[in-house]
Amino acid sequence: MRIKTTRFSEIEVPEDKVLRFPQGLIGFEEMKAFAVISRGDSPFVWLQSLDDPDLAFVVTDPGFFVEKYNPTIDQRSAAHIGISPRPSFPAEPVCGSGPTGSESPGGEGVRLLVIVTVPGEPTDATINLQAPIFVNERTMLGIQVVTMNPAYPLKYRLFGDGLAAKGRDSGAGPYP
Amino acid sequence: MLVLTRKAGQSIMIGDGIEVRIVQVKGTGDQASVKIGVSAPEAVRVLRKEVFDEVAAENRRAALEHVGSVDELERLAQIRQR
Repeated sequence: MRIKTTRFSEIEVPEDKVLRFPQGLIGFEEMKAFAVISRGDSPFVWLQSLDDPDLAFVVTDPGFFVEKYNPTIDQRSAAHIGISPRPSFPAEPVCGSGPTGSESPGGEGVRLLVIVTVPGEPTDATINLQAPIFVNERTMLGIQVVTMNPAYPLKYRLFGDGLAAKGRDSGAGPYP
Repeated sequence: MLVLTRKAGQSIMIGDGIEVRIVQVKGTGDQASVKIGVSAPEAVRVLRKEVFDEVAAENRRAALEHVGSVDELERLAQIRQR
């Protein structure tokens, strides 16, 4: 299908790249369908709303950035998109290249994504570990769930290991 | 807002699919709290309001991304991997 977008002008989206959120995303309850737009081997993927040309999110596979991130999904939410309530995630990213992990134990057909926020400077970008998106890859149904684990913050810095500070202090531009 | 008085064990129905039950009432004054049980269809998202508000606000912030900032993110991610 062809869709109009603000960021990417008019684009062709194959049916199997349409991700549906029966409940919408939190705060965006009416936005139930998004095109998955990935670029090469980038760890970042766009979710472009099919309903609102202006609305798009950047998401990523948390496996690229966080070790031991294993959020749970409650039974109702899991049932809602037709997955097992206790998937366990491989460290292996499902999009692009990156650290390659082992075989996916238990998490077959389930993809985990987190939403990226760029508050201004990309060096300050954060991912939302508190409210990840679970996707049933077979049906392309997704749901955003809230985990109550205090180890998983709403804002987890992507480049928290001094990279941001290095960029700012160098004076010769953000990239060393 | 509709305000109803209920006792522990009593419920209200919202539509014909959502039941909100007062499970327990305890404490008085500032310490007062109620335990609430919600039965709702899977399609209905049930969250504490403050959690909903926080996540919704973060989603709204995330929705403002520009195409250019993703180019920057990719460069930073590459640096990070080295």
